[in-house]
Amino acid sequence: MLAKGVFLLGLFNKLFKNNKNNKNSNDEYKDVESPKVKENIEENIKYIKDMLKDSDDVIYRDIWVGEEFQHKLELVFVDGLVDKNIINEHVMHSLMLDTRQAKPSIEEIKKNIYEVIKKAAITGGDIKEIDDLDKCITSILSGDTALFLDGHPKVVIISSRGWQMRSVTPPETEMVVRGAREGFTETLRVNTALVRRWIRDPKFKIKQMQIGKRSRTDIALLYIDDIVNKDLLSLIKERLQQIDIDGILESGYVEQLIEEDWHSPFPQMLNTERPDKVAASVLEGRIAILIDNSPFALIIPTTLATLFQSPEDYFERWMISSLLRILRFTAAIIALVGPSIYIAFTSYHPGMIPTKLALYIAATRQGVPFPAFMEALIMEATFELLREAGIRLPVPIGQTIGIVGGLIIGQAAVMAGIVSPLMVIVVAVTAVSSFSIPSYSAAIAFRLLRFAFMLFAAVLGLYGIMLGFILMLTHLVVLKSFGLPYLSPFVEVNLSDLADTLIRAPLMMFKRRPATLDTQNKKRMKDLRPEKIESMEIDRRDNNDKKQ
Amino acid sequence: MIKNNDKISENQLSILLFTTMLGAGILSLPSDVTKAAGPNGLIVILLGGILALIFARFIGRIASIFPTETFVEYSAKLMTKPVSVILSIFLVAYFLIFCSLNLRIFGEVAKSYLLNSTPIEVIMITLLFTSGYIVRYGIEPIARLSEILFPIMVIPTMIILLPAITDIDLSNFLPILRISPLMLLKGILLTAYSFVGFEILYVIFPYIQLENKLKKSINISFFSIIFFYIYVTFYTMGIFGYKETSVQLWPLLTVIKSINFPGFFIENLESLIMGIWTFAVFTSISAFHYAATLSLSKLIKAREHTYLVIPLIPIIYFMALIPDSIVEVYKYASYASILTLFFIVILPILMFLAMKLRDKGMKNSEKN
Amino acid sequence: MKKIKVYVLLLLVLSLLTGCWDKVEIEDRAFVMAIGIDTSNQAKNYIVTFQFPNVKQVTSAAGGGGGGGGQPNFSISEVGDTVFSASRHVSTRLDKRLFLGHTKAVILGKDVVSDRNKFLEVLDTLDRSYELSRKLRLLVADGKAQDILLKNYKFDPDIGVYIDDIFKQYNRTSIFPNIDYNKITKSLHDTNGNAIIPVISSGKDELKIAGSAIIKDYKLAGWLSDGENMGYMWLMGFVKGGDITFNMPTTDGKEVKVPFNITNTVMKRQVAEQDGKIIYKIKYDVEGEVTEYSFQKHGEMFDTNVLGTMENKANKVIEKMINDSLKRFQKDLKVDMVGVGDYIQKYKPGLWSKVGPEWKTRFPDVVVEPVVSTHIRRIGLFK
Repeated sequence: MLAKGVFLLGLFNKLFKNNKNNKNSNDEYKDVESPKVKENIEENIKYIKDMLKDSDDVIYRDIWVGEEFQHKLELVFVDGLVDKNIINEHVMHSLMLDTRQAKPSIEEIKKNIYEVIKKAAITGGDIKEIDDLDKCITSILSGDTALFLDGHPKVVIISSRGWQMRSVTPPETEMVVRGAREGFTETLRVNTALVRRWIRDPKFKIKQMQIGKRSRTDIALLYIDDIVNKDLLSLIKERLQQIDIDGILESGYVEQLIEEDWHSPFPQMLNTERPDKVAASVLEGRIAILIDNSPFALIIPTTLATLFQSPEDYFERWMISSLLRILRFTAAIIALVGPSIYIAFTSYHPGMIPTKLALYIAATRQGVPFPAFMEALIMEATFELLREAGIRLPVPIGQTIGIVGGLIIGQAAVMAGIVSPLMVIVVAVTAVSSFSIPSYSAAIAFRLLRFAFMLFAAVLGLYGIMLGFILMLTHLVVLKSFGLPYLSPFVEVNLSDLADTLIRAPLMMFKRRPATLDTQNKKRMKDLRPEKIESMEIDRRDNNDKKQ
Repeated sequence: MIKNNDKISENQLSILLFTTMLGAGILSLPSDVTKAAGPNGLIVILLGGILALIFARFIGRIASIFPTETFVEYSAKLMTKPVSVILSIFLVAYFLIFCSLNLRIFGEVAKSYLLNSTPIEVIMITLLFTSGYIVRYGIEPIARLSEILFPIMVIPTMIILLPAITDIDLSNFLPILRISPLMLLKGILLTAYSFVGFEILYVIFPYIQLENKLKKSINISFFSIIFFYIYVTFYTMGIFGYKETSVQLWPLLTVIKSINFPGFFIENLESLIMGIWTFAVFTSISAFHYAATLSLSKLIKAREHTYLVIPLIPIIYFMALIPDSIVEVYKYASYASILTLFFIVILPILMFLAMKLRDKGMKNSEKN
Repeated sequence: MKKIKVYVLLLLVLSLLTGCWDKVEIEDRAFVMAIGIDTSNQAKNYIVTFQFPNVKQVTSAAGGGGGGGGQPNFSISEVGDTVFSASRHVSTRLDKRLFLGHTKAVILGKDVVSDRNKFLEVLDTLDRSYELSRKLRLLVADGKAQDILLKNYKFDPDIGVYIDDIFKQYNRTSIFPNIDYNKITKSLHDTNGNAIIPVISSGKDELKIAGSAIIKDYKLAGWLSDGENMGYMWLMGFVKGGDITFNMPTTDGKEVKVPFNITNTVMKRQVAEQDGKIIYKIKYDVEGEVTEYSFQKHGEMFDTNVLGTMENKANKVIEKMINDSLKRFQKDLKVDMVGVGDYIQKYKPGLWSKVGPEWKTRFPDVVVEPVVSTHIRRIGLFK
C-alpha cells in the first residue's frame, strides 16, 4: 500500500511538471492537473471518495462480473440526480444478468472484458469514456453514472440524468392570447429540445460550454450557422470564456458579466421564457444563450424596438398589431413622464392646461398640504411598495392586496386630504402603462427613470423634462448592444427595418432579415405579394396553354 | 452592425445640417424678413436659402478635396501656416460666438415664456452642461441624436400650425415684388444669417463616410430647411400681415399663442412649442460646441477633443452673459452676421483662389 | 479624477435643488378670467379690476349640490399708476398669485378709450405681456368696466367664460364683430390707430355684447349701432350668419315682416378708376332660408315669383345697411376702416402708389357700389 501511495504521488508530481501549458482557467484553486484514471480500481475509487468526502448522497455500488466473479466493477452516482430506472434496468441488469447470458468466448472475456462490457453489455443509450478523474467527478455531480473497471485506465460515463423538475408550463411573465403555451424550465436539455422543435434545420447549432468555477454551469449558444454574423459569434464566445466567477446562479449573472455598459439602466439583451421567441430571434440572425437552472434565455443583440415586441404581434393581423405597438410606445412614454408632466403643468405652467381643468385641479388641491412634487413622490413610492409587497405574497392574498391597496388606500388618501384625486388617477394610469411594456427589464428601467424625470420636472418644469429627455436620449444613442446601436433602426435609418418597429407591417413585407444585424443570408421569404401571385398565375396558365 | 462606428453616413449628415441650422434664429426670422422685404418675405427666404446653398456646396467642394482633414489642417496647406492659424482661431471664435448667441436667445425666450423667475444663468448652464455631455462622445452621437430629434421637432410643429390655416389671409402676401432690388438684396443677406450652421462642414469632413452622395445630401438638407422656414413664415405672415410681423420680437411664438386647437387637451400650445424648440436649440448648440472643441483641439494638437469640452463651457457661458439685455443681444447678433458673411462668402472664395493658385504652382513646378 | 467629477456633479445638482424658483402650486394661483381697466380721477391713473373664480366653489358644485355658500367669483380692484403696477400691488391684499394665462376678456372703460395717451399706454401693456393670450377678447364698456366686473351674473358667474361663449355665437346675429385681441392689434398696427372694438354693456344680471366702438387714431371716435355694425361686417366680409328682416306686402295693404336667416356669404371685390374717381364694387352672394311668414299664406311660398320678390327685398335691406354703415365711415368719420385702401394696396399697387399718400382725403370720395344677390335656399318645413 505504501508503495502504491508513493507511486501515486510520483505520478502526481510528474503530471504537475507538465502543467505549464494548461490554459484551463478552472484550475485556479487547484494546483495539479487533473489526475488520470488508473488501472487499479481501488485507487480511483479512493480518489473519488476523498474528493467527495462528507457528501453522503454519493452512492458506491460494486458489481462483480465474469465467470468466476473475478472482475470488479464499481458504479458511482449521486442519489437524487440519477434516474434509478436507468441504473437498475439498463446498467445493472445488463451487467449482472446479461453478461452472464451472452456467450462470447471465454478467452475474449478474459482478454478484453472492458470492450465487451462497453460495447455489448450496457444497454443504456448515451455513453462515453473519459480518462480524466476530475471530469469524471463533474459528470457524477451532474447526474451521470460512472462505471469503473478494474484493470482498465478509462472510466465509462453513462448518462442517467433524471431528477425532479418542473414540467413544461406556460411562461409566467409573458402571456399571450394566441401562440404556444410552452415556457422554458430549469433544465438545459429540456430547453434546447423545446427550441429544436421549432427549427429543424441542420444548420441550427447548439454549442455548449461550461461557465463558473464551482457551479460549472452548462450553457448553450444557439444560432444558425449560415445566417449569423460570424464576428458577433466569436465576440460572444470570447466574452463568455472570459467569465471568471464562482457560480452562475441565473441568466442574469451571465447577462451582467458579458454586457458592455453595466451603468445603464437599460437591458442590453433580451430575456425571455418563450421558446418561440428564441426561435424567431435565431431565425433573424441573432444568438440565443440558454443557461442551466434558468428558465430565462438571453437573446443578443437587442435594440430598444425589440423590447416592445411581443410574439403575439406576429400571429395576429397586422393592422391590429400595429395599433397595439403604437399603444405600447405611448404607454412607455406615459410611464416615463406621466407624473412629471403633472408636476410640471400644475406647478409651473398652468396656462397649458384647459381652463376648466385647471380650475378643477386647483379646487381639488385645496387643503392638500404637500406641493405637487411631494404628492407625486408619496403616491409613487406607495405604489412601488405595494408592487414589491405584492410579489411576495401568496397568490390568494396577493390579488386582494392589489385591489385593496389600489382602491382603498388611494381613496382613503384622497379623503384624508393627503393627495388630490387627479394624482391618484395619474399614478394609476402610469402604473398600468408600465405593465404594458412586454419586456419586464425594460419596464423596470422606465420605472427608475420616472423618478429622475419627476425630479427634473420639480426643479425646472417643462424645460427640466426636455433636458431629461435629451440626457436620456444621449445615453441611449451612445449605448450599443454588442456593436449594434441601441436605437437602431431609428438611428441610421433603414426603411425596411422600420417596418417592424413602430408598426408591424404585413408579413409580406418581411422579405429580408433586419439589415442592421448584418447577417450572411439576407433573404428569408419569397415575394408573396398579391400582384406577384397574380403574375405567377398568369405564367402558369401560359405554360399550360403552351403545353396543349 | 460591426461597422466602423466613428463616421456618420451622408443621410445623417443632411439631418445634422438641418438641425444645426434650425436654431434660435427661427423665432425672429419672420420679423427680420418682413422688416426688410415686406410682403415678399417668402421669396426672400427662398433666394437667401439658395444663396446659402451655393456657398455650402462651395465649402463642401473645397473640403472634399481634403477628405481627411479639418479646416485647421487644410487651410495651412492652402494659405501658409500663420494665416491659417489666425483663421483657425477666428473659426473657433466664430463657433463659440454662435453657440453663445443661440444659448442666450434661448435663455431669454425660456425665461419669458416658460420659467419667469428662474435665473437665466441656471437655464443656460444646464443646457450647456447637457451639451457638454454629448459633445464628449463625438460627432456620431450628435448626429444620431439629431436623427431622432428631427421628426420630433418638425412634425409636431407643422401639425400644430395647421388649424391656423383658416386664419390665413392670402392677400397678406400681395403686392408681390414691388420693392427695390436693393431692399430685396438686403433681405436676402439677412436671411442668409438664418442659415448659419452649415459652417460645421469646414471641420467635420473627416468624420463623414463619403459615398458620392455629398452634393445630394447638402441639397436635401437645404431644401428641407428652406421649406420649413417658408412654411413657418407663411403662417406668420398669413395671419399677421407684414407690418404686424415686423414689430414683433418673436412672431412664431405669437402665432402659436393665437392658435385655437379645437378640442385638444392642451390649451396654450406655446409651452409645447417651447419644449420642442429646446431640442432644436440644443442640436445647434451641441454642434457648434463640438465644432469649436474639435477645431481647438486640432489647433493645439491635443490628442483627443474630450479634454477641451469642459474648459470651453465657461467661455461660452460668459460670452452669453456679455449682452446686458435682449436688445443688446440682437445688436450683437447683427455684428455677428458680418462675421457670417466672411466665413460663408469671402473665405470660400479666397480658399478656392488659393487652391487654383496652388494647382497652378504645382503644375509649373512639374513642368520645370 | 472620477471622484472629483462625481462631486462636482453632485454639487451642481444640489445647487439646482435650492431653487425651484418658478414653482407656484396651482391652488395658490388666482386664475384671472377677466380684467377691467378704467381711468381714475384720483392721483393715480388707473383702476384695474381682476376677476377670478372662487376655486372652493368649483368642487362643491361638482360634488353635487351648491350648499357651499360664498361667492362663485371674486373681484378685486386696485389703483395704480400703470396697469402693471396695479397688478403687482394687488399682491399686498390678495393671498394668491395672479395668473393671467387664462384671461379670456379685457374690458376697457369708456374713459380709457376716450383718452388717447391712456389708451396707448394700456395697449402697450397688453401687447408686451408674456402671459396674456392673444386670443382674448378686447371689449369697450359703455361706462365703467369696474361696474360690469363687480356684478354677479345669473347665466354664468364667470365673466370671462361668459363673454367668450357669447362670442362663439356671433354668427347668430352678426351685430358685433367676431374679433379677438389679435385682430384688433393687427388692425391698429396696420392702419396706425384705427380699429373696431365690440361694446359690452350689463343689465341687472346679464351681459350684452352688441354694437361696437370706432377707434380712430387711437381715440374713441364714435359708436356703431347694431345695424351699422352689421353693415360694417358686410363690408369687411365677416358676415357668416345672422338675420335680417324685410317687409312683404300683404293683401290688406299691411306688411309682414319676414326674417331671413343667412347661412353663407361670398364677397367679391373690384376696384377701377373712372374719370378721376375710384369706383369700389362689391358683389355679394348671400345664401339663406326664410324662417317665418304669415300663417295665412301657407302654400304661397312655393312659388318662385314670391321667392324672387323676397330676394329683391332682402337685397335692398342689405344694401341699405351697407350704405348706412359706409356713410358713417366716409362722411362722418372720414376714416377708412373698411378695407378699401388695403384692397387697393394689395391688388392694384400701381393705383395705390398714386392715391396712397393722400388716401385720407381721397377716401370720402370713393364711390362704393355694393351689389347684393340673395338666394333663398330653404323655406322651412311647410309650403
